[in-house]
Amino acid sequence: METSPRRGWDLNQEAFDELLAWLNPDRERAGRKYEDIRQRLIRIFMHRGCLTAEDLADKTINKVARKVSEIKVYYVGDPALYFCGVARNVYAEYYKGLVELPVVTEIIPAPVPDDLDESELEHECLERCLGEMKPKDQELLLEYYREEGGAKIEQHQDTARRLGITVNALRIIICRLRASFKKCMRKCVEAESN
Amino acid sequence: MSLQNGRTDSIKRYLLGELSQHEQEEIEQLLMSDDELYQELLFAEDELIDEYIFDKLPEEDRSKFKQRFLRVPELRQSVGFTAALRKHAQQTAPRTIAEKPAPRTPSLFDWLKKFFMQPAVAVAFAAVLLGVIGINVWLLNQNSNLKKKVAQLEAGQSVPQSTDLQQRLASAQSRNEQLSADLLRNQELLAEASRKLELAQQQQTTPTPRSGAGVLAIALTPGVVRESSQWTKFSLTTDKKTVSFRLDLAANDYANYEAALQTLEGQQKLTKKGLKVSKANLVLFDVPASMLPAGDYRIVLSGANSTGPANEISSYYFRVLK
Repeated sequence: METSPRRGWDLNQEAFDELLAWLNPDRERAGRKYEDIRQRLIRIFMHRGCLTAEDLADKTINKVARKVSEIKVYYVGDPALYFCGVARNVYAEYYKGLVELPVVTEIIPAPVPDDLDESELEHECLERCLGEMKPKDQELLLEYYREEGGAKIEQHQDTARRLGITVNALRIIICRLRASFKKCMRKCVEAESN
Repeated sequence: MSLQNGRTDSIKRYLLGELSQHEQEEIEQLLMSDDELYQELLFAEDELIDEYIFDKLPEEDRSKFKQRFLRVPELRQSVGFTAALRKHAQQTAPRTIAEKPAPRTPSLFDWLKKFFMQPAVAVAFAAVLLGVIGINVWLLNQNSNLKKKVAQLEAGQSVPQSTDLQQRLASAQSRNEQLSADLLRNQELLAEASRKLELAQQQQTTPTPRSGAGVLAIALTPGVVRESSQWTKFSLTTDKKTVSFRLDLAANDYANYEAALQTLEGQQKLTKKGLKVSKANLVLFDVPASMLPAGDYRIVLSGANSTGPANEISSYYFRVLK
């Protein structure tokens, strides 16, 4: 749970505290709400194709935090929606910045790399992250990705039947396992790269 | 989390960048406040990545996916992790490609086993056993009584025996023999029934080994690169006796194929000639698992026509993990 401003921010502790208090009077809940808003903003920027989604999310929060003493007086409703409006302005600035780059005479799409081959580092992290999972979860996740085509569908049906759940419920379990696996991978790759 | 409602389609279109600006802003507004929709977005993201990795996306969507997902570092990383997971899943514990055994006709023993394992039959069988035991006790008792009567009759032989008494004695002896035979038969029946029951119980706890177990099938694609990060890697468990390699052929240009298994130091471990090629252009090369301790290996595949010498076609690299 976040209880202090992120590193590199020009936001002081007082403004950050005020922001949290606006999100929720309970500091622990406010911290969770803050992190939730940040994650959603990152996703929105990512799906708008921004290459610096995290920075833009922090910039959005920063802008809201600076104005929070005024906002809280008149704004009624879910604070998350206010962030969304500010995020649109931040995106507009970002896009304008891209277009106005002096050297750019024509926007040329960056080549999309095709190879997704894992590096040695990723391979090590993969082994480690799978190793940290419960054996049952690890086997379930690997089983889910093992087969292809028709065999894959049959495999999922067999697995669901064996566990006594529906295929849809299995997909939700896999979604959670995958999310936890990817989180571990990100942490590991980041830690090993530094 | 509902995955079947109409919003799923909108989310997919949002992720592929197919929505108008207005629709996009509307979805984003909802994503900030609607927990369920946000979860659906995360789910749809993973589903799209899976479809891309498993090559299930239509060409048009694939192109949009690449533009949207592979350019953004975080999304690209997510795609990479999923691809690595899939590769790992298929390499470390690949399925045995051996065809499923045809369903065999159940034997008489299977039928008996199945029959005796039915709960109703088991109860009835137990009742029959109890009945047989009861009959045996009764027969033993009758036998004993008859023996006593015979003894009494023999004791009274000082009196001149009448024809009637002789007949009664003969009849009693005959009945005695009959009862002894019945007793013996019932004891045999009881022993046989107990043996069958015990056998059926043993079979229930000891599954029949599956056909195809012991063979690990590994598909290999040719690689000229000696970069180990691109090799197929797998582990061998003690239950695997044979590794059945499927060597991917670009084209089936030769009449005969031979494969040589070597260590990377060039030590020849096994050579096989006259290998079969499947319809899918795969050369099947079986190697005893005992010949593959942990290490790096190369399989050199050569092809020859009846008239010419063998030509080296390609090499396949792999690593056996501990």
